[in-house]
Amino acid sequence: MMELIGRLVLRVKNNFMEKSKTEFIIIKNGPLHVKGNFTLKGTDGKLIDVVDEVYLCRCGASKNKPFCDGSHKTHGVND
Amino acid sequence: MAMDSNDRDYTNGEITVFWQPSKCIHATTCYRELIEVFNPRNRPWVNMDGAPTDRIIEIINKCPTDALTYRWNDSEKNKLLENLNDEKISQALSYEKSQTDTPVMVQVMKDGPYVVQGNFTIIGSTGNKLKSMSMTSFCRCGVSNNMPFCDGTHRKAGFTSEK
Ligand code: FES
Ligand code: FES
Repeated sequence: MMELIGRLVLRVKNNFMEKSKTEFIIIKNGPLHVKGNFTLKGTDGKLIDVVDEVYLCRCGASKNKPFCDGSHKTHGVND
Repeated sequence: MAMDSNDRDYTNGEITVFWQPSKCIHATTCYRELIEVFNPRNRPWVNMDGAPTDRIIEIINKCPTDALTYRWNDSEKNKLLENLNDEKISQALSYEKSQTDTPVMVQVMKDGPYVVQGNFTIIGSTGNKLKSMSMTSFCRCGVSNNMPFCDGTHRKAGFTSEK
């Protein structure tokens, strides 16, 4: 029963995600917060597996590109 | 197409390539794939002798905006192209209609920006809605002079994304 409810919730969430707007939130002097319904393709053209949201590096200094690893704190963004 | 004083055209006798800098989102596709023709360090930056016509066309077709377009100099060939364009436009329109539930595509460009296509909203850090768009590129080198968008500065800054 619990499992069933779990799945139902997941369904509803996915449906909601599909209809809701995809948002790109600019975090000042920090990363780009992406959430909603999107796919992410790496520099090699291959899809990167992500969940409903990611924080993408905007400062250029992350050691884990394209994701933010906190390096912006010492590097900064030209915002 | 509406002409801007910064617009340029280049020909090799067979095709004419039109360059509309105001439409460029610096996706870097052209010069990464065909530097022999599209070299931003050179003036003029487009060298029509750098590759065969079909290769130039192939790259222009990969430009995500209308920054780079082309026409055949031969009017018969152009008619074929126009038909093809009409087809593409109707395809794009029906794509746009179906797009409400199509995921937004975020493409990470090597040594360049994030190129984004689809229906999306940009929100400032204070929660203010900036705008809704269907195609743009976000800077990821840290030094654009037009944040949060890419303005091409990544190239001058020598941004490398592979380390
Ligand atoms: S924005 Fe956080 S590491 Fe670059
Ligand atoms: S990625 Fe193009 S200006 Fe930063």
